[in-house]
Amino acid sequence: MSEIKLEAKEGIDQDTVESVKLLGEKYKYGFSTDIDMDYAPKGLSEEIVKLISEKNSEPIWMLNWRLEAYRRWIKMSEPNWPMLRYKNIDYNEQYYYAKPKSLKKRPKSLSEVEPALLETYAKLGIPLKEQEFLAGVVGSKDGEDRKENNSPKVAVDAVFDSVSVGTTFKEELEKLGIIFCSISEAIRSHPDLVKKYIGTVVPRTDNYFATLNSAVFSDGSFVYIPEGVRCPMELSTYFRINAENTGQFERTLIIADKGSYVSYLEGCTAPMRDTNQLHAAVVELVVLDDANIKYSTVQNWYPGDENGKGGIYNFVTKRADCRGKNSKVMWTQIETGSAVTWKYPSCILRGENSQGEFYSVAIANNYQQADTGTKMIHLGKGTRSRIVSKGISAGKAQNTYRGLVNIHPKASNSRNFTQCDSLLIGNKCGAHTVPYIENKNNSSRTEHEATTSKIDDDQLFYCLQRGINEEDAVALIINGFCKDVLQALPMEFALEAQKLVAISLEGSVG
Amino acid sequence: MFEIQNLHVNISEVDKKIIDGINLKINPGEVHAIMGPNGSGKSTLSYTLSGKDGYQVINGDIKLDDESILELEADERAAKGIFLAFQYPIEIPGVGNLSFMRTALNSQRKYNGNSELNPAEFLKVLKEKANNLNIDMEMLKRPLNVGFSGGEKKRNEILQMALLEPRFCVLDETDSGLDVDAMKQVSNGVNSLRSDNRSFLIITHYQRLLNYIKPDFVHIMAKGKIIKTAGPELAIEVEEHGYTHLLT
Amino acid sequence: MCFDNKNSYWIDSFIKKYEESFKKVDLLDRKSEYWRFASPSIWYDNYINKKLPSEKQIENFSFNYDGMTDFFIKFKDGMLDISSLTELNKDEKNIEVSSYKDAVTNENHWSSKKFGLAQTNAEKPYKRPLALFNGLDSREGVFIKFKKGMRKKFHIIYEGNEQKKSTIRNLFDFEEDVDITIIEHFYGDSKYNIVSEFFNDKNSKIEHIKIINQDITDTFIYHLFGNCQKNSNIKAINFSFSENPVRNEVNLHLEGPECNATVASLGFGQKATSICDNTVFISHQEESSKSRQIIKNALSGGAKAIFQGKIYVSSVAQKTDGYQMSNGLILTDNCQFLVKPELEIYADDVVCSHGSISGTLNDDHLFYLQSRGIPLLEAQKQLIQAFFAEILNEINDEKVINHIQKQISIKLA
Repeated sequence: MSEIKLEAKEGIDQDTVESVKLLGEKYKYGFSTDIDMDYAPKGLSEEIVKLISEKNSEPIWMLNWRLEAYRRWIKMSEPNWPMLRYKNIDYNEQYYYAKPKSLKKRPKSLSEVEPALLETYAKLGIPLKEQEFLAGVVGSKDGEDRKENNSPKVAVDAVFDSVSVGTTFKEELEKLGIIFCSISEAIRSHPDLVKKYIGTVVPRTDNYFATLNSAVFSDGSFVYIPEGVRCPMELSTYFRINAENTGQFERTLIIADKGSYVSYLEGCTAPMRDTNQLHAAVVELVVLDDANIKYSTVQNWYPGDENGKGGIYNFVTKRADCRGKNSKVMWTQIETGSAVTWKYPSCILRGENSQGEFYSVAIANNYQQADTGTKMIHLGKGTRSRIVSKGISAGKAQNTYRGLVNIHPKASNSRNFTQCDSLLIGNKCGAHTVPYIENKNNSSRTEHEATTSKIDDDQLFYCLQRGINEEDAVALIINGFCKDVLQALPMEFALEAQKLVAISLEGSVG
Repeated sequence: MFEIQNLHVNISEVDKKIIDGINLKINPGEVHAIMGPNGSGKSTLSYTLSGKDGYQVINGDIKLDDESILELEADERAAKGIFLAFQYPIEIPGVGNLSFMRTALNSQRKYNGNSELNPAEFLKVLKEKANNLNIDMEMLKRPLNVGFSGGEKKRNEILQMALLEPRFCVLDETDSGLDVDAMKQVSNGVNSLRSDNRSFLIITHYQRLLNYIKPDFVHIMAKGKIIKTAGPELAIEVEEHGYTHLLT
Repeated sequence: MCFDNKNSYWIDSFIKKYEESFKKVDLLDRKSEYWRFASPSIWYDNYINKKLPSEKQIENFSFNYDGMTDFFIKFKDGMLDISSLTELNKDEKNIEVSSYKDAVTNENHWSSKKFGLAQTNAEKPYKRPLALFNGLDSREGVFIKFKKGMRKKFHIIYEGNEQKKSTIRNLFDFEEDVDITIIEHFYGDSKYNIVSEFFNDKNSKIEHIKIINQDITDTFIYHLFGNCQKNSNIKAINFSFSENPVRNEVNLHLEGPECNATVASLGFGQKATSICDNTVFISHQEESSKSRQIIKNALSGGAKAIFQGKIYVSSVAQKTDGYQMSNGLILTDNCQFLVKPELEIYADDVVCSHGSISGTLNDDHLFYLQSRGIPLLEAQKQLIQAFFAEILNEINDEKVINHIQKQISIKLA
C-alpha cells in the first residue's frame, strides 16, 4: 500500500533522472518546416489590418475594432521601463500574416490538413495525429478507449504561424456545451460571446503590445465553459512560429461561466533562425461567480544561440478578470525560451472572496533577458492572492521579477503572500527583484519575502559525494528549488517542464 | 586497500596548513578510529579524502588499491567506493530523498559500467536495505534531510551507505548530536554493514561511539599529525585521562 | 548665479553646474519611477510656491540638553550660528570646522577637493533633482573634517521660527579610524532642504541619527550621500514625527570591501498631510560588505508611508550580504503603505534578501494582552511601542532614546 503511494508521489522526482540524461540535448524544437506559405505583404498599415480581417472572413464590427486599435497604436511608443535591452524592432520589416497555402480552404477535419504540418506537430511531441487524437476529430470511440486506460485526455488547438490548423475532441466537448475552437472561428460562429467579452479584460488601449495585437491578431483559441460545467479534460493550445520574419499575434479568450472549471495548457516553440522574431499575444480570462480557471504555460520559444543571435521577442499581455464572487484563477508558467520576455500574467480580483495565484519559473541562460512577474489587483472584499516566483540566471542572462500587489481601500480583509527567490549561476549574469506593494486598507495584509543567492556549495558537495556528477547535481538542486511551481502544473506538463529546466541550463555549469 | 601517504593539506580560504604529514594504511575489513581534540584536523581529513573543493593537498598522496585518487573529482571518488557520512548531513529543499538516492545509485552504476535500475528495481533494493536497518519508508518520501531530527539524519546517512555499498567509509563525528538510543541504532546499522571487503575510518571526539562500533586500531590525532596508534584500549585511556597527557 | 556676485570662488563652478543640471532634468516628469509614489509637486511646487497649512504643536517635547558634555552646532531659520562653532574650534588638532561661507571662499580649503563627489556618485540612475536644487540654492552649512582616530559625539540643532526656508549643505570628512556620532534635531517653522555629504575613510565608525520633530510645519527633504571606504561602518537612522511630507534619501556607495552599512527609519504619521518617504540606495562595489535596511512606519488618520529601497551589487562585489525589511502598521482607514524594495544583483556569490509586511495589529497579540487585563487601548499602545523597538534598539544613547520615546508617547496619547 505505502509502496504504491510512494511511487505515485515520487512520479515527478523519478523523472528528474530521465531529464538529467537529456541534459546533452540542444534546443530540440529548432527545426523548420518547408511549407508553401501565403503571406500578406510585409509591413503594417490599415490595408494590412483590413486584409487580415478579410482573410478571416470577419464581420465588420471586428474590422472596425481592429482599425481603432491600429489608429491608437501608431500614436503609442514602446515601454522603456523594463530591464531589457534589445535592438529596435522595425515593425515594417515584419510579416503580419502567414498561413500554409494548403489551409486556404479551412480543413473540415484533420485528415484534410497537410501532412508536413502534422509531421511538424508530431516532431514537437504534440499528440495531434495520435489515434485517440484523430478519434477526437471524427468522433470514433478511441477517445473512450483512452479513458479506460486511465491516461488523461487532452484536447488540442494548434496554431501554426498565424492560423489555427485544427482542434481536437471538439464534438465530445460540444456535448457538454463547451466551445473550444480557434478565435477566428468563434468570431464567425459565436459573435455574440466574442463581442461581449473581447477587450473587456485587456482593453485595446492597454499597452503598446496589446494594442498592436488588437489590430493584427490573426488567430488564437477561444474557450467557453457553460454554467456549472467542469471541463473533463485539459484544453491545450500549441503555438508554433515557423515562417521567417513573421510575427505571431495570437489572441486567446477564455470565459468560465458560473460554477465552471477548466484547466488550460499552452505550449510554444519556434525554429532556430538568426533573426529575431516577434511574438505579441494577448490572453483574456473572464471568471464568473464560483468559477475556476487554471492556466498553465510552458514557454519554450527559441531563445537564440549561445552568442545571443536570433530568438523570439516575446511581449505578452495576460490578464484574468475575476468578476464573480469566489472565482479563482491560477497562472502557472515555466518560462525557459525567448531571447526577450516581457510578461506579467495578472489577476483583477474584483469579485468578493475571489482568489488569484501565480506560480512562475523563469530561466534565462546565455544572452536571454526576462522581465516577468505578475500583478494582483485586489478590488473586492476578502480577496486572496499568492505569488511564488523562482528565477534562475545563468550565462550572460538578465532575469528580473517585477510584480505589483495593490490592495484597494475598499478591499477589506484581503491578503497577499509573495515568495520570490532568485538563483545565480556564474558571475556574468544578473538577477533582479522589483516588487511594488501598495496596501491601502487597514484590515488587509501583505507579506513579501525574497532571496537571492547562488547554488549552495554544501548541497552541491553532498550530491557529488554520493557520486552524482556536477551537471546532474545542479539540475537536481534547481528542480528542487523550483518544486513548488512545478507541482502546480498538470502532471504531464510537470514532467516536460522538469526536462526543460535541465536542458535550458545546459552549458551553464563548470 | 586504502592508503594515506605523508599527507599535507592546506585550507585555501585561510591559507593555513591543517594536516601536517599523515600516514595511514587501512586493509579491507579493518575498522580504524581517529580520535583527537577539537581543531586537530579530523574533519579536514574527511573532506580531503572525499575531495571537497578548497582542501588543497600540498604534499603526499591518497591511494585506493595503489592508485592515486588525488586527481579525481568528488563524484568520481564516490563512484570508486569512497563514502563520507557527514557530521551535519545537508538539507536540500524540494529534492525528494528517494529521487536523490536513485540518482546517486544510478550515477555510480553508470560510472562503473553497470546498467541503471528502473524505479521498480530501485524501490525493491531500497526497501530491502531499509528493512535491514529498520528504517521506516515514510522517511524516504520527505525532501532530502529537510525537517529530519538529528537521529533521522544520521540514519539516513547509514541507509545511503547501505544502498551505495561503498568499499571505504568515513564516518565524521557520527555520534554528534545523538542520544544514547539513537547512537545505538546508528551503530547497529554500521555494524551490520561491516564485512571483509569493506573498511571504515571513524572520526570521533569521544570514546563512547567506540563502545558500540569496535575498532581494530585507534589513532590519536593532534595538530594535523597522528601522534599515537594502538588497539581499542587507547580509546579507553583517552576516556579516562583526556587528551592532555597524550599531547604533552 | 554665483556665490556672492562680486568675487569668484571655487564653489561658483559647482553652483553653475547644479543650476544647469537642474534645468536640464525633467523634474516634473511624473511618469518617472523616481516619483512613483509621491509626485514631485509635493516637494518642489510647494517648496517654491505654496506653504502647507502650519499647525504648531504646543506639547513640550524639546530635547533636554542639560548636563550633557556633547557639542552643539546651531542653525536658526536656515542661518548658521557661528558662535556655536567656537567650542569645536578649540580642538583644532583633531577637528577642522568651517562654516559653508568660510570654506567656499577659501581657495585652498580642504573641502574643495571633496565637495560634490558623493552627490555625483549618487546621480545614477536618477539625477535627484531636489538635491540639485539644494546645490544651487544653499549658502549655509558646516564643513567638518574629523582627523585620524578622533572620537566625538555632537548634535546639530536646526530651528525655525519665521517660516523661512532652510537650504543647508553640510560636508563631513571622516578620516581613518574615527568614531563619530552626529545627532541632528529639526524643529519648527521652516522649509528644510538639507544635503549632507559623508566621506568615510578606512575603519571609520559613524553613527548618524536625525530626529524630525513633530512641530515641523512644512516639507522636509534630506539627502545623505555617503562614500564608504574599506572596513568602514555607517549607521544612518531616521526618526520622523512630522505630520507634513518628509523625503529622506540615503545613498551609500560602499566603495571599499568589508563595509558595514545600516539604514533604519521609524515614521509615525497620524494625519492625511503626513507622508514619510524613504528612498534608499545602497551600492555594493567591492567584496564582502554587509548592508541592512530596516524601515518601520505606523500609520493612522490617512497618513502615507513610502519606501523605495534598492540593494545594488556590482559583478565584483562577491560575498555581499544584503538585507532589506519594510514594515507598515496600518492602524486606521485611508492610510497607504507603498513600497518598492528592489534587488539588482550582478554577482553570484551573494546572500541578499528582502521582506515586506503590511497590515494592522495582530489580533492574537491584542487578545493575549487583553486576557491579562490590559485594556484594549493600552494594549494597542504597547504593541505599537513594540513595533518600533527594533529601530530604537539600534541606538545606545539613553537621552536620545528617552526623547524619542516621549514623542511616541505624545502621539499615542
